[in-house]
Amino acid sequence: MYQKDYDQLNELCPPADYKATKIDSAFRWVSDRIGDRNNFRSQYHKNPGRFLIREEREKCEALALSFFATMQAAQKQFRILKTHLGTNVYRTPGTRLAAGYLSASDGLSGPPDPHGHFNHHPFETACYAERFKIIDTL
Amino acid sequence: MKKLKNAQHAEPGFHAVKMGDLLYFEGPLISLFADKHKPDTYYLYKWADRDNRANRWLVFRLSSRELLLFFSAEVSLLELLHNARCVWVMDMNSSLEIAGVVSSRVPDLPAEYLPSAWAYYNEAEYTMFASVFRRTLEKALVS
Repeated sequence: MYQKDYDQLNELCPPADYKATKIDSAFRWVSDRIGDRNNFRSQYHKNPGRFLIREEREKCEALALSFFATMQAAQKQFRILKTHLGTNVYRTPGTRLAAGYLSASDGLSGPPDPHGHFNHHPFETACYAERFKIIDTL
Repeated sequence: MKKLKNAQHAEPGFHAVKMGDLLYFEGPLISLFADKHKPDTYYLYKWADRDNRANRWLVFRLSSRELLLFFSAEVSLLELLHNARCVWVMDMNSSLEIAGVVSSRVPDLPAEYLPSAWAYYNEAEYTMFASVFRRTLEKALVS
């Protein structure tokens, strides 16, 4: 984790129920090149301006990477955003769906929500691009 | 960023206070603001575009009655936009400062910025804040 960013927060981040655990199957929206350095950077680091005001409570979530537990969940959530935001949505979260796995040494993961989405706070040493492959277009 | 047709330089001229996010993924995508000085005046901020310099938001005014029609899925997000007729297109830089604002008629906006005709409120797809705010609004308008 980028400790200096977490040190600035007053709240417990990541939350107490986040665990370093292996997740055999995880899905994430990425750009058309898996090696793009922004693919596995948090929103806070790759596009800090995509917020409207600075809020402490938002920063913790913005430091996490979003993953999905299933391919169907990842595709469904993208369709929801495209419906509500328009086709320009491709300019923010990505254009491709990548699949891979998370190892316990990658970071701390939260439990999936009812829509199959979970947050993952990465350790600085994690190297996801080697273990994720693009499997579909969004 | 997409080029805008017939856009006019504009001063928003309102003081909006953020109430919460209606749609969120790794940051806000649709957020609700209230006018600090005018009762029953709200603004929706909908993310639209980005480049290396800024993120672009469509901002449009609406009343609590219009919000309730949206929350009850009687009007879509696209209809709300069309009802507003004119929107502010606001570019916010990485310091979250307004880097530029123009006003635009909705038909002049790039098609890529517009939600689909099927973008209706669905409690399961929107945030917890949206659900709570909807109930608060319903109570306030009934009483």
